[in-house]
Amino acid sequence: MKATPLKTKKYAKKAVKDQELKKALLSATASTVESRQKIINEIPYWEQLRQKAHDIKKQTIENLDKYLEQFESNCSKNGIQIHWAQNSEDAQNIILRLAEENNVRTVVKSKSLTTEEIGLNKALLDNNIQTFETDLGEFIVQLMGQIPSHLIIPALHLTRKDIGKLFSEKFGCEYTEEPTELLDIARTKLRELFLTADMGISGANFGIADTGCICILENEANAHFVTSLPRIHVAVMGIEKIIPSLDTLPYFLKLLPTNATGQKISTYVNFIGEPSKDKLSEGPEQIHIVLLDNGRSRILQEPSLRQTLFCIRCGACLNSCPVYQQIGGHAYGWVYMGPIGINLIPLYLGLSVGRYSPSLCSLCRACQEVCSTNIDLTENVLELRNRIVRTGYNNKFEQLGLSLWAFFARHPLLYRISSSMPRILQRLLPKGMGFPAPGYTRKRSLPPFDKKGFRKRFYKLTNNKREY
Amino acid sequence: MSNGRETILSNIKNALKTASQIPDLYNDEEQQLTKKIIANRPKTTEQLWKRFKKELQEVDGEFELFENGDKIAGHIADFLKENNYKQLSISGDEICQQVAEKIKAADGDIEIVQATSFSDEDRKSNLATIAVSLVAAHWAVAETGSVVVVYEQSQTSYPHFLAETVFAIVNYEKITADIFELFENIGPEQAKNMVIISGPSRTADIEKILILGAHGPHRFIVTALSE
Amino acid sequence: MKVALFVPCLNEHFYPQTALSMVRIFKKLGIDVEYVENQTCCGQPGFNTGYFKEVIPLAERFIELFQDKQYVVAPSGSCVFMVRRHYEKLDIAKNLKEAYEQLKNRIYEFTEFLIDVLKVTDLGGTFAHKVTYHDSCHLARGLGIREQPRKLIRAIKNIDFVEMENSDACCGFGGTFSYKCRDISIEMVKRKCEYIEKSGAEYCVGADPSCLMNISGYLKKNKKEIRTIHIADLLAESLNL
Repeated sequence: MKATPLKTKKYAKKAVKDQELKKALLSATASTVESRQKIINEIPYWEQLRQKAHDIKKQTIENLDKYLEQFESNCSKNGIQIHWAQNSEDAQNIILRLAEENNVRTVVKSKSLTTEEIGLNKALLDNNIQTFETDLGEFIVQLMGQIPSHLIIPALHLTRKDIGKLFSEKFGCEYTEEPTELLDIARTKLRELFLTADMGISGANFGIADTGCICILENEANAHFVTSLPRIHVAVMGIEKIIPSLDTLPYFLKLLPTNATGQKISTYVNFIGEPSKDKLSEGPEQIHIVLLDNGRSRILQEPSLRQTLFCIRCGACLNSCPVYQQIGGHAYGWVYMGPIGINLIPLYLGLSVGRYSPSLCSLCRACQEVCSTNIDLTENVLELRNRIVRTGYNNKFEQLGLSLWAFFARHPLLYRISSSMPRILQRLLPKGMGFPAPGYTRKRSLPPFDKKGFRKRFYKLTNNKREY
Repeated sequence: MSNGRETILSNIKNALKTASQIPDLYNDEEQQLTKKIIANRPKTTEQLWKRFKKELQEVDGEFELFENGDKIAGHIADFLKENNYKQLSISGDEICQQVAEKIKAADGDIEIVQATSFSDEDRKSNLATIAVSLVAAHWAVAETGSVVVVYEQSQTSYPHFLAETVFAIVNYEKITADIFELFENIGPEQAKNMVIISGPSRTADIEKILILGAHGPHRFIVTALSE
Repeated sequence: MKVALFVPCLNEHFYPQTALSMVRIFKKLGIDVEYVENQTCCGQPGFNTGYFKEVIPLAERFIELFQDKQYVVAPSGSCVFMVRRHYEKLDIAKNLKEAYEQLKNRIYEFTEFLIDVLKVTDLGGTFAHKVTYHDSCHLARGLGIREQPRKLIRAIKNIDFVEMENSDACCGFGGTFSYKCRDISIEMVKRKCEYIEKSGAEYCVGADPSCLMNISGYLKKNKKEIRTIHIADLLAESLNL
């Protein structure tokens, strides 16, 4: 997907006016949050789970090279081929080469943000390979020619009417807006695709180093079909998705479904560690895992920001973010959105491209209260804001304004008269203009500056005594 | 592509030369969390199945306890007849073979389709159209109402996923309290090709309305046999 | 016992009465207060916008001014959070690091100070109105202070305290966020005010002047009858101070 985070201000401005979007966001996130809370209420050790997951991820990330090598070795022993992609282009080329070598004409895909990150669909289409998304929401969004609006619920922004119209247009079937009927149409169409596709491409939620397998969580069974029916399966996985061992998996199996969708467990937890053709006479002949770097090893260079690599893509931060709830996912301008998105965009794409993303945050800290791996998202945002200022990608008027403020705040005398001066100005200037921050008062009034200020009043009360 | 491999690994190794500034958060001993997890567990096998049933039903799965293979065979035979199904696909597990023979004995009209009797493309095309299947699961997990299928034992995955109605048989004794306990019993050899199933397939992608039978089974019925 | 007053810039310039209420309450409890001359701002607005270097002089001044004080109290959770947690991120002068380590443990938010240090819950006041309470982000999630303000409110005689829906949802201020992302900020405070109205309260109590400024700004502009009131002012008024 083309990254346009520099346009995020424009997108956000448009999004806040969209009442329908807001309603959809509120209803979707509210029910997930409610289910999630119900499950957490029954788990007395929930906080410890999060902390343990944090530590497991820390252990992994701090020894990432060793675990990756172990993962590669064990996967290879099981018959899986490992490929290493430094960036999007590398990954695309690896997959295109595999497709060419194996006469691949059609591809079925299960939900994978990583494949969207590298713009895989476009690369496949450009090379005349028919690619179908199979996650129902993604399938619908792909047919519409749009991008997903939420990490976990891609078609959040569409109604049954939208979908009914879409299906009848694209498939020539009778119009219906009944959800079960819509599902039937999609199911039939997709079953056909599963059975005839040459290659299945998936993501991976976890890569288990000591076992040499990947783990894919889902509810629809489409990922199962994508990874078990076509003769070749390719999984694209960010290098940070590794966990050390099978016995560390249960912690994440408890955290991810609850945080993502308010479920105790996803309907299917698929373990894929060997091409089954030999042993079972069915399934893929080849399994390939593409390990993707694309900026992740660069994040490793920042000791205080390494935590961003702990993310397991649960989406809980999105559901808790008051800003996300107002603007939705498209407004962030890339595949990663919400609190984790505003961290990843400047880190993966660079500070220049991501210069506006960290501003989409009121620093409320709701995200880190829910984060599966206890990432200090808010502190990371502050650090990124600092970087953006230091590298000069900040707004120059803002720089001026804040330098002035800092100057006034440094000198007590200036600080004190900054009550009386602005107050005069405040009374003189037209009401609507909104001093000192124009635009602050378009829909909200600023209180009047106090004519004396606290210090003077205090001394009046205490008869000029400093101690009282 | 060893170029990519070497570059990525050396980037990582270089980056990690700088010590982390991220705190460790989990201060308690390993024991504390484990104790809390264990404290939450039901004590007897009967209690475990009771919990299992409750959890499975909450995810729209079904659970029914049958005393023996004959009873379950009779139930499935009735189900097939009532709904006019002529075929039943089965996985490669021995128990399925046994129960299938009983079903065949109860109703000669039913064709038992052994998934493993075909291979590759034939298996795909034959299994794709059979609406009801009988499979075995190798573990049950009470806390989440899940069953575990280790493919090396079932020798196939098609009946578990391609059918619309799936009957899954689990050994009564092979039930664990939670996922943690499950992975005390399963090692890398089995884990590298298996699935944990919790109820029928589902989606809420259309207006967040829950619908069953997304791409996989619409009904998922578990039974425990103690033989 | 003597308390050094940490007067947030919003109180210095816009809401001095809140800090004065705090002073009067301390006097009633028999505690002496002192005003530390030359205090200015803790640096939060700049820091939160990413201007770390620019606020170093402010942080250093703050530490120097308050370093020998036994108790430093502010009627603002976000300011206390800034000093306690964020000063660590700044490259302050090495000779002040020790003083800062000490100061960290001696700086308190007002309700935290009353409940946790003074162990005072019931001041004996009366306020016969229906009120609700807004959990400020830095106070509730940053410092973990949720119960202390509530205990103080509930102890007031004749008060009718109702919880609003999502009392800890962000009010949308976020410092310069309220200006930089003003469209989003307005929608957030609008939603917050809807929750406040739904609760049926006459007053919305808060413990952070920035949140209260934001919320009252919206309420006033939209001609709502509900008033915001800082907990220090509420307590002072309940005692007729």
